Amino acid sequence: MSAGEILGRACSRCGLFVFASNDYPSLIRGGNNVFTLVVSDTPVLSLSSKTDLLVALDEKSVELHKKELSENHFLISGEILDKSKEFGELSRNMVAVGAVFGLLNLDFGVLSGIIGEHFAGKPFLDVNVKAAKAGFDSSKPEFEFKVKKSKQLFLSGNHSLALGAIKAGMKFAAIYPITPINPMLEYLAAKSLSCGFVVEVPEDEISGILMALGASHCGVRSMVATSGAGFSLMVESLALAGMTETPIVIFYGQRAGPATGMPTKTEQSDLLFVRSAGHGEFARIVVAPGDVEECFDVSVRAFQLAEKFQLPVIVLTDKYLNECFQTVSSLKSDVKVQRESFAVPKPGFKRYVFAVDGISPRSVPGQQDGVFDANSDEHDEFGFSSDNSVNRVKMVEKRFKKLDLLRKELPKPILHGNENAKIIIVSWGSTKGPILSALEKFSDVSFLQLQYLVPFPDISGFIKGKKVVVIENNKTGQLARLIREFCLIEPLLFNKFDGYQFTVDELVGVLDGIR
Amino acid sequence: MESGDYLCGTPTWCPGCGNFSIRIALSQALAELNLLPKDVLLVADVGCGGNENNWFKTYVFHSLHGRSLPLALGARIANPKLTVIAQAGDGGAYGEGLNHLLHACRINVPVVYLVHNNQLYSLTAGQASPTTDVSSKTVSTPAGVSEMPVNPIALAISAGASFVARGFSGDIVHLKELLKKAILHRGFALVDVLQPCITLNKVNTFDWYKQRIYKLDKPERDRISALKFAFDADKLPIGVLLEETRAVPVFDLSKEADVSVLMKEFS
Repeated sequence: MSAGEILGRACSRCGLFVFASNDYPSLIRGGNNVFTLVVSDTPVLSLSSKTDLLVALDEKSVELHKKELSENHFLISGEILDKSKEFGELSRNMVAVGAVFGLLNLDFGVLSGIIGEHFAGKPFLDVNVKAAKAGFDSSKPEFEFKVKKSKQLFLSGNHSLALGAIKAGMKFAAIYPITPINPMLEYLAAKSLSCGFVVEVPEDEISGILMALGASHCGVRSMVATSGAGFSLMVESLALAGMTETPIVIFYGQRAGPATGMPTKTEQSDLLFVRSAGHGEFARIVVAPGDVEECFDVSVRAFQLAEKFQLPVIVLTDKYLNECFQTVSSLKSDVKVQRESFAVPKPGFKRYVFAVDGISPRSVPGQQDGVFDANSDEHDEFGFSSDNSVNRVKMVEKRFKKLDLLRKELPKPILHGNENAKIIIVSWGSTKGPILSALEKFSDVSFLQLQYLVPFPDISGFIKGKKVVVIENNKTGQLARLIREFCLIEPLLFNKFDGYQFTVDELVGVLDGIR
Repeated sequence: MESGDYLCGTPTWCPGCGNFSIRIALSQALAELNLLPKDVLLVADVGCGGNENNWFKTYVFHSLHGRSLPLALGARIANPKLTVIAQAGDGGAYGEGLNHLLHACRINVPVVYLVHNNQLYSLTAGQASPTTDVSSKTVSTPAGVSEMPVNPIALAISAGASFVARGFSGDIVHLKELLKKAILHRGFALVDVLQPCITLNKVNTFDWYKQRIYKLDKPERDRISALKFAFDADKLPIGVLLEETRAVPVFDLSKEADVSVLMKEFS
């Protein structure tokens, strides 16, 4: 937990709403590392373009961030932070955290409690509490918040996704380290023993997805988590999952590509990649949660859908959402967690029976009378290899038949704002927060948020007769292309691909321009 | 159990192919160990040997080329009661999937890796594989192979495998006994099976192997002495080259997580 995270959690525990995001280079030490927090007594969904309070751990940082400062800003640097000399250089950030807490006029007891939890059992606990207190005492209260005490959580997208996986009964995760899903790997690894699941760090992502498929074949809910570079290695086995109808959940945190790109910056440039990745044609689900709260429900549902429909589910997030922290009142999902689509096999069992709904109940190794061939070759109802054309057509149709029921069960797109608005923004994933913040200024613009993107939902009823504006974080307008393909309209596209999320000001500017 | 209890269908391999012997040896080993077909998971690769996925009446997963091993590890971790046997040819095991082999040796999850090593890509009609001998002329190497062949036995010993064995498809009884030992071994077991490709390999013929093969009485005591056998240039020792007791990773999936407790840690 970084100093910024300690501060955010402390503010959140005081009853405030916090939205926080980090920005760092791909380095272990040094470079310009920024942790930005927006703290308010009303819910916060996005970053702010102006900084009211800057903590600069060195002089260079003051220069770098000068242009972002608001007119009446506060600066915590040099002299105040030098109080840390008394406690050792490493406590510099704790002095800063204490100083901010004092300025914000919050209860120091809450902050010291969180520092205590974080450093519990470690020798530098006392020093850090003292450093924070010194910082706290050095600043005078400047802010006034209406604080109401209510239980709430402060966590990142990675944590929310991981909690959803655990809630869904995930038992096997194979994760090769990569930004931005490392915190998910670390959290799951830390909880694996006490919660009874396996976290394997494989030799590469090729192996990772195969291990997960092997585990899934044995009936346990399995996942991988990765980013573009790792998913590229998984693609051949994505097709294997499709062909053998083996459930798997793939958590995919996008970052700025191509290739190594800007590995610690955000982007939404892999929607069309995941939509068609893998050789051959097979059914899949791609879902993009919009914020930390949605990550939980999407994650739980991903496991349920993967198992019920026996297909890969790709949970598509991005660096911004994976690593941002948000105050949420609670994490909820209305998904009923239950085992689905398993067989009670009898002699002559057909694993890939031509089921009416396309979902053929599966057996698992160890089950009497259930033996079958999970075959990467095209196969007959038992799983044995077959290149018979009649069987081929029926089997392909069976695998796609599932989509009929799936379409009925998938949650619908979410419409935010005035349904009679003449202008409708259509977007997906982490742009949700900035768009909703921008929309506070416009009563005549609505926002259609697409969570479930593959299979593509029917949005004709939402967009009919409206000016459609697509906002997304990539160069080529990938959602815009899907809308063109499925809705046969030409939407207005506003995109960016500089490695950063849209700011609210940028979006307000866009909307002002088209009205 | 009878060996026929594990088998079904009619293999389409070339008459006289070593794959028939390997299939018989494996089914006999399973029968003699009295393992129920429902408790056996066979993970097949792609290639001539990989086609066996259709001719076994156990649980089978026919994986992708070079990708049988990691899938087998995941399955065995998820269900430790299973006997999991991954199979591959020399292309899949020592070319496309070599990385997986080295790491399986390290991880030591109890899976048997049965490699059909005929020193050629046979299903694609005779291209040189990673184990084709130097100077062999094949359809892909008209001037003769110039690369050093992969030495799978030496690699597995060096990578920390706890069980390394070599068999010969021409000796079913010996191979069956090797496979029984491999299945009973607590940890990862590589069984490299020398196998003449009677249709396409005109160099490493049945007679060629017969002249070079001899049986080891017992495993070597340590890796260095096992390596000496692995690097024998003139002869091909078959049998268990190395067997070692090593810790096996233990996974407990039985606990249920209480997410509400976990959530409180984020308050």
